[in-house]
Amino acid sequence: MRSAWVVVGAVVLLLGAGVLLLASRYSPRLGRLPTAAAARWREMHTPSAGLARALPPRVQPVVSALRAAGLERYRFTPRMEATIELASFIVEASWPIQLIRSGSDFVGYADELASQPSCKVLATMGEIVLAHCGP
Amino acid sequence: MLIVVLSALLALAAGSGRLLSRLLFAREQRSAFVALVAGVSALHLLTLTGLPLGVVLGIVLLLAVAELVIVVVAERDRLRIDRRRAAIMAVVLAVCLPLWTFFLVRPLWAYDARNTWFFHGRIIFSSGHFPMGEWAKLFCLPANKFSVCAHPDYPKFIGIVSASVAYLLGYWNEYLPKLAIVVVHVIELVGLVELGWWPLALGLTGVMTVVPLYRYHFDSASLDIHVGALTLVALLALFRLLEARAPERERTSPTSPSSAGAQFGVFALAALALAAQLKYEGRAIALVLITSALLLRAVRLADLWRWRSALALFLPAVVWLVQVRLLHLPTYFESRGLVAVVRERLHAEYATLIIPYLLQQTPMVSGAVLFVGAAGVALWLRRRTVLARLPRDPRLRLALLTALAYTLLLSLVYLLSPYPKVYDHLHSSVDRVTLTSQAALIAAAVAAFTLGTAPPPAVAPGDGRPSEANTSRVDCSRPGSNPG
Repeated sequence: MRSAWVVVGAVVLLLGAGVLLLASRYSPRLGRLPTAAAARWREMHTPSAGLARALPPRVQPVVSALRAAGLERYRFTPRMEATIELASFIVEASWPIQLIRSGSDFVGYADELASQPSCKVLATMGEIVLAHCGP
Repeated sequence: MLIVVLSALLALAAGSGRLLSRLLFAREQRSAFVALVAGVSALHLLTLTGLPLGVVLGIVLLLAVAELVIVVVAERDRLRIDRRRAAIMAVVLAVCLPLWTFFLVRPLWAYDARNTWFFHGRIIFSSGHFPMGEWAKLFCLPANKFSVCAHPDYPKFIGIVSASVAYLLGYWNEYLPKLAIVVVHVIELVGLVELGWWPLALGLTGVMTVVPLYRYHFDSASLDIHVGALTLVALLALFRLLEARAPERERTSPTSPSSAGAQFGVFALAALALAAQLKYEGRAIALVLITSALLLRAVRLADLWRWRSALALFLPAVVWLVQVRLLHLPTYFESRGLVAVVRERLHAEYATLIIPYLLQQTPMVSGAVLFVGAAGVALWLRRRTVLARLPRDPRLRLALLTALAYTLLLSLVYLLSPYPKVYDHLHSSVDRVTLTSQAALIAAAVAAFTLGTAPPPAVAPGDGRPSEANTSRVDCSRPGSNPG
């Protein structure tokens, strides 16, 4: 009985391997599957990996800008606060840089900050800017 | 590494939980599911004290090693491996592999999971301990409107388990801390298999793998799908309890109804305790289910007193509730005049529209169709026996009352929504929160389908207690059954 199961298992394995080989021969995308899977496996075991894939495209540059500016805290402009999902992702991804209620370093939309004479733009990420406002 | 960490965490939880089960529960009340829940609850509670993660995991490891020593030294002769159940569990876990692979190879992408429970996990891991002062800094913007909010008061179970995974790995990234969700899934599956409902475990896993709605909820690391699964485990355990307490004429041996099936009461409470640790809705369903069981006299207050040790499993949820008060963290209903809000909204259109909106969600509709279909099939197959029992079956009444009460509670929660626009709140969460009501409807379908087929409970003679010779393992898959 046990040997029967071994035979069945071996047949299934061989069939599976055969199907994979044929598929990789005739489909270029499937052919790349083992390489892509190995790369993803390595990435899964890499410290701090996956952030660029996980975050919405507009968030990652803001986080990088906050880190590059060496800030410890920042605040949002009113319109940025109202962009709930984007603002929430920024709060989470930029931690331990902290969102505060009042301060002079702002993350907001360019049209809110760039036109203000008291604000100096530190970084521009498309329509979003990081600016220092005040003396 | 992935498999090593998952196995290590489960082994730590099972080992430490088994030792705690020895201290908390009578022998016939213990099971692998209860041990796993006790183990992860201990990890949760110890971390909430603020001890360093390494110390917490060290204590859990010591407990697990102590249990191993006890088993090897004192219980080696009585140790038996249930090969059939082990094989079933292996098959169930093998069926889960495609779903888990699909889940783990994608970095943490979902909004709620990233911004709440896994964000909290990252904070705990980075701090090296449970940072009491850090939560108050995660305020919500604009004040009290919950638009930009990391929900600092949110239950920390997943955060703590994911931080423990990261601690064992030595680093945080966007992939492997998701193993915390797999740990919860494994515990649910162990519960279903121990209750003898392994086809249901296979079926649910198949549905989560194949049906896009459920795959989405699993892949997004949503906790509602797990609260639903734990509700199902709790209800099925209570079904076993009710079967074990069936009238004497339906039992094969004399048993005191008060003690029959005590293991199922503890089993159900353990499932609800884990749900309560996961999220607010878990606490709500625990309250609803226990109240429904008491109202229908499926469980009596005296039973809860007898199973009071199982209430210790709710301790982490209670401790966190106290900490939220002490730390003055913003909560869901913060600073809102609840009575004024209800009065204001009852006069608006919400009151008449929320319940119909809840009822037309896919989980509610599919749950109702499943229940009606199961009852129809049972009537068609076993008309004579089922027709009379259908309206007064205690299992069916319990499941349906739970589904109804929980859905009404959800409508009340939406009525009190802190969001200025209730429909925004409804649209963003209604499909996932109704999964728990659906779980109760699935349990109702199980009760209806098995009407007239359940074998008479085989309770061992002598007050429902297992004999000393054969008590190393409890077979939860048979109502009121004892080892042997």
